[in-house]
Amino acid sequence: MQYQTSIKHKVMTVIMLTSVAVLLVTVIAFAAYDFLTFRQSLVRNLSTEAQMLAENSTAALAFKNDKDAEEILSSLDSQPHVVAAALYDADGKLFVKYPPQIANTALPPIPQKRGYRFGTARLTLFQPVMQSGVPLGTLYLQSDLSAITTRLKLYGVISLGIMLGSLLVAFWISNTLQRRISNPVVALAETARKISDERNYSVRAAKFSDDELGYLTEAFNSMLDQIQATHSELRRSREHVQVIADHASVHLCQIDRQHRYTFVNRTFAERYDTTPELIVGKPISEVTGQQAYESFKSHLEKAFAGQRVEYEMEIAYNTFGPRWVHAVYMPERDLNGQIVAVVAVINDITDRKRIERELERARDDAVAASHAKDEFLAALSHELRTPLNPVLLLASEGAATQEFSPEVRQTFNSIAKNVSLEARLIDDLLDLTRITRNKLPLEMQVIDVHAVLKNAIETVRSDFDQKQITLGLALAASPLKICGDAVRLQQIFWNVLKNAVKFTDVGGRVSIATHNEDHRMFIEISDTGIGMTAAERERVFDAFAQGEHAASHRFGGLGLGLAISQRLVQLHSGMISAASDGRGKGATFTIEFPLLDDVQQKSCDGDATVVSRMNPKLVSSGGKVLLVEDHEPTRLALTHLLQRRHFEVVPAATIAEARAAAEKVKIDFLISDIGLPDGDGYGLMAELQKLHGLKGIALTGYGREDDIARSQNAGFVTHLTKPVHVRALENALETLIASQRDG
Amino acid sequence: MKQGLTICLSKWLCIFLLMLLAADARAQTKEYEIKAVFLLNFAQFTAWPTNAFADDKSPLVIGVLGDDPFGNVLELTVKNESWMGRKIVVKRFSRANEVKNCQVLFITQSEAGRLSRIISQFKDRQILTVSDIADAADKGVCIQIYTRNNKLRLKINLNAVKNENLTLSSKLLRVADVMSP
Repeated sequence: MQYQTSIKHKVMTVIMLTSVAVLLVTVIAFAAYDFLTFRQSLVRNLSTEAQMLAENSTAALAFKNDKDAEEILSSLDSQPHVVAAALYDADGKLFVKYPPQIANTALPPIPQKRGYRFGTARLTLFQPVMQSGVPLGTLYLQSDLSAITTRLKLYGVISLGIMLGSLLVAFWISNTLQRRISNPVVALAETARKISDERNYSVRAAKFSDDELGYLTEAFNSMLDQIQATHSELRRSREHVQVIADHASVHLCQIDRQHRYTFVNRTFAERYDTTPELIVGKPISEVTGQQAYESFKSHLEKAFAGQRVEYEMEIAYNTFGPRWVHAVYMPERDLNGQIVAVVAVINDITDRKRIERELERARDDAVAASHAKDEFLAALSHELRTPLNPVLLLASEGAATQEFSPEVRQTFNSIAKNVSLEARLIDDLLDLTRITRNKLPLEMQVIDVHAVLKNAIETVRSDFDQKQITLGLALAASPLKICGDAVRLQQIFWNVLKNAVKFTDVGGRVSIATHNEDHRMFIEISDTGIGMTAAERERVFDAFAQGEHAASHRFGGLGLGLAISQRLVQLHSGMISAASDGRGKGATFTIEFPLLDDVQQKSCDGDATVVSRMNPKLVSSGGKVLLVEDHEPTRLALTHLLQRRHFEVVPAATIAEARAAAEKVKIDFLISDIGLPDGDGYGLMAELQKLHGLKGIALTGYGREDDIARSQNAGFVTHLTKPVHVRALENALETLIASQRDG
Repeated sequence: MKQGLTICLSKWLCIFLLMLLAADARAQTKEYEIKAVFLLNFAQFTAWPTNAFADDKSPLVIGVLGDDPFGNVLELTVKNESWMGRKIVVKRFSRANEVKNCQVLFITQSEAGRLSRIISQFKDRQILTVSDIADAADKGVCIQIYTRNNKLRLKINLNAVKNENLTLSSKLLRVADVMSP
């Protein structure tokens, strides 16, 4: 309502003030003009009067007739404004005065120059009296200005009347006209007030005219349409959000700068056994408890500083005790980019944490168990293999001793072969555990695949011959350099070939073919063996898996070969796959490796030459060897073996004996067991290397990777795992002599 | 006006000198000084027909008939005065038949006995006759000057004026007692 009076009054005041100003200027202008013309007419009237009197009084002056003169002047009685008059004779003496009772002092003593003068409140005039051009005297007239005053008063009254009348008319007109301006404005204001008071956006302002105000009203209404649409959209989306928030499993809340809750979802409230309405507005510390609040306060402050904060923490709530929570704080900014609130998404992860801890414990247990298993396997293999060493050595020696009859040698050979097979089974087990734990060291170098493949073929040639299996070779690949570990590659090929021989009947055929394609090298090994069913093919690379025939033990083995091969191929960035058309239709294994290009070749250590087999020079070279081995049969077998290769052997069973021997004679190199009764081989190696600059070969049943690393650290050039193969020993000796020559 | 004032002053100076010479004749002299001015003023209020003057240059003649009571006062009064562009001269006549070319004629006390005869001679002569002789107006003089309450007053015989073929200003009539026929 106050808008109404305001705009109405303003419009009316403007109109009225304009009217008054215009009227005032007009009236003042007219009054001034009238005042001036009235003064002029006053002067003119008085002059006319004076002329008439002067004309009439000539004779009276000429003939000194004062009576007549008085009579003439008394005619001024009819002119109430003339308050005084006088006639002076030609000599300037006062002749008669009017009114007769007036004092002489009230009149000028002598006549002055012709003309009129305005004095304060009076108009005076001198008029000469002439007859036929002869001056006879002077007439003096004095008029008061009450006429002007009266006139001005009258004017004032009339002006006031006109103004009052005009104002009344102006008031009436402006009151009528202002409605055309104020009504639409008032209607707009009233609509705006309704909207802001009642938040009712469906109200519309009425349009009165087609002018700017009409346009304003239309624009206002169209803005209202938009606001209403936005408002309902907002409400819908808020309800939507509310539904989502209330049914979300996470605890959601919004916190203002004073750390009070401005919004919480139902899930949040239920955690405190209450409703959102009872939480909103409360400070955090009041809801969670002071201790809990203090524990995450710093995170909250970081979020208010503009960071997204995420943390997991155990919080001690005063209502339901310590709980693990996962929380994400996101700062919320207003349109100016000021952070006004923080939205928190909180998850109670106490249960998850408990399960995690249980899982962790279970995993630790499993790791410990696995470790124990590895330890057990290592110990087992050592214990299993140690007795094999002398057997293998002695059997190999027996088989090679020319003095024995062929039957005896054949028996020795058979013993050696089977012991060797058993050693390999144990080695496979060890390899598998290493690969599984990703701890198999590879000596990567540039390798000629065909050379390695041929070596592998050589190792199984006797098996081919035995089963009268035909070997087909089609080595078409070129180039064929890859980056790999020669020993492991040979192991891969050996495994696949051994497998092919194993499952191929007597008189069958095994084909080996190689080719290049797209910077990759493919090796295909096919056989005419028993083949695989689809199910078998799927599990062919699984450890401990053999075909359904496994139960019959017809083919023997633990089924580790292909599993190890697959992992080794993968370690070389390659792939191995198996294909078969079905049972009895043979199988094809395809191995592929990425080929080396020139650039990669440099990054791969070593050169392309594969170490050739036995170096004949070694046989005749000889030297003095300190052999330290506490297991007597092994020591004897090795002594015999070395002597046969023209080495002079200084045997020792303990470190003390070895030390004493090294003092006595000059030793060329050391071959030592690691586990000794009075210490370990590492210490001995380090000591002798220091004292005599010796190099050595380690012998151990511990074929594990850390054992190898440790022996290398101690100064051993090579490391042989028991049971020692003759070939491996020869290689080790060759490497040792070569390194001695170099160093 | 200034000039007029100077004239007045000189006039009064002369009168003052005369008064010193004839102290006992002062009252009479003063009376005639006024009468001299009156004579001059009468001309201002009187219209003569054109044939009253011999020609355009002819002066206005104020004549004195009889024993002269003015002395030289009249001469002093008219000195430097003019009327309608004409000079004013004073002439003295001892006998009525001497009067010629005269526009204003003052008939003095000495002629009281012969006044009626004199007047009859001046009929239709366009002469404004003036006299201070008692009953002059009744006897046919145009303007009689008399004394009342110690002031000089005029009495006009309009018939006589008419007979002389003259016209007097109504203003003159206003200050005088008028004898109507």
